[in-house]
Amino acid sequence: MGYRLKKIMTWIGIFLVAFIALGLVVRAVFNYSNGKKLEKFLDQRKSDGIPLTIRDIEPECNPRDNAALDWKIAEGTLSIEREQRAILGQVIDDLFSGKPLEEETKDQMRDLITKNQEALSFILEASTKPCFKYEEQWDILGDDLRIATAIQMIQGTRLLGIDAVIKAEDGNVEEAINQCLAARKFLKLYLQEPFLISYLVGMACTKQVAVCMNYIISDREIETETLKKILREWDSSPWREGLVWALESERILGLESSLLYLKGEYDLNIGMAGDIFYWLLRPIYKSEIIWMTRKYDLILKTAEAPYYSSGDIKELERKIFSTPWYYKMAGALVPNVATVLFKKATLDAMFDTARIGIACKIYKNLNGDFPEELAELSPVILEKVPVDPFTGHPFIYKKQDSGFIVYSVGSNLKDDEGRGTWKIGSLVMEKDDDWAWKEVTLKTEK
Amino acid sequence: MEGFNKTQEILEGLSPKPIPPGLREKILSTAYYRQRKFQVISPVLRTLFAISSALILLAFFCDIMIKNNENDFLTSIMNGSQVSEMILDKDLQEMTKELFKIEYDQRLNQWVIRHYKTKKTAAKLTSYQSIMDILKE
Repeated sequence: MGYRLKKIMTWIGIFLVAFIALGLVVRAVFNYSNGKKLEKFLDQRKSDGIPLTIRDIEPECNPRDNAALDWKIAEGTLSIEREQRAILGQVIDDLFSGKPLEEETKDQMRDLITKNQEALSFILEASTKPCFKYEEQWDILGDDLRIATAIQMIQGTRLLGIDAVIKAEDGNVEEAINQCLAARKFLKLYLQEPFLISYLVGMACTKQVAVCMNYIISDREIETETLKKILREWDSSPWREGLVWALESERILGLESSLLYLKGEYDLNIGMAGDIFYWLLRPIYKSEIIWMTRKYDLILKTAEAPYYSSGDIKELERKIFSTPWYYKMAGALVPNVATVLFKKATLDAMFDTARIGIACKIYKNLNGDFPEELAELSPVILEKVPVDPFTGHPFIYKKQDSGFIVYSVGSNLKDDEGRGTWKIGSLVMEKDDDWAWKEVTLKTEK
Repeated sequence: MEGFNKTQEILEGLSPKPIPPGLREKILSTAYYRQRKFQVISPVLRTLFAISSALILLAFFCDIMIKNNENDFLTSIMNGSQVSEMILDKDLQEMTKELFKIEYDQRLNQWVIRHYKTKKTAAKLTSYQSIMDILKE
């Protein structure tokens, strides 16, 4: 019995060694061939001039021209308590619904604005600069690339927009409009920051400023020259380029981090398990890098095209998220770009309906009444009438009594009579998903 | 003495006979089959073990060589780039909370958290549960 057991154990041991040897040989072959594929892939990218590291895309920005330096002061001095933030959020919600500010809220806002006047003036100062670079050196070895404090960015621009609304309510419409334009300019500069997180924060801030601007302009008599000035500056095209830049920098960050992980310089901070994980998955990880980079190529291609050309957005989302089980690690580095594109489309809808609204107001100033059809705006006021980013077709325009409404049908592609919501719950909303710009009754300036 | 001489005569009269053919093999074979019952490792397995061990050593050696070559290539192609990861300046949880208020999108925000929590000292959100808690607020 002892002999038999010894024999069985020895056999198992030898077959185990043989099995391990076979596995290691297969792994070595796989490791080598995948390594060669990766080398070829990276060489090709390099020769095509596609950046591989963050350092390769670092922009130039002279400190004297750097808006981030002013922003850093604003960031440091901005002081908004938690409860006040909630009120600020509520004010933006109300403005989106067209609800006027109550006197009590206005007073609270005035106090907050006075308290943060210095910070706001630094944001306005920053908007006059040509570039924005928060981290002055992107290749600080062993250091981290920092980005602007998102929470301060959101609150700062929110307060700036509300300040403009209060100024307009107080009769300083011109100043209010200029402030919104300056805020937009500042946020356009902020698009120069890399990575999707900055883009998302910037886009959210821009939407808030757009809400304030819409509130100031709609239902208010404004001179033609002022409207023309707004029309020249009020467009969302920089956000398309900004999205491409954000995704490109994200791809490069993903690639750089992956390559550094492959080199063994990037620690997962999980001790020995991390080392075993690294050793085991190294051959597969090389294919994952190629897969991830190609996935980003697809994403970038989609981001460059208009939203409506993406087709079924849920299908696109499925396509982006279709990660093979063996590529799960790289799959985690790929963002849900379908949602980003959707958010960008809502921004486009907000800006484009506002542009049409402003153009209609100019038309009325020139001709005494709003146009019967949007086509009448082109080419005198608008070179080209923008189309609905969700459908690629003209926006819905309805002339009503003394005013008009122009709107995008939104993600559900249904005409909800211009009813919309600020609170997006899913990629395709069931109802009340229109993005509208209304001109109902004229407010008289104080 | 007489008996001794007689024995000597008889022995001198005997001539040596050759060993019957196949006797040696027969004896060895019987012994081999008897011994095989108690043998732990066969020569084939012994060879298999030797080859496997050699392959394991070779595979590890190749792995080191491949890694070194690849690292040299990566260093040259990346111009000596070092780890550069972005961190969120202050409180990630607070930031995402604000972001959720403006942009009601669970899936993207989950990605944001997962993606930007690489710097553990800067990120307080470490699980999906905490994200879900925020969304419920």
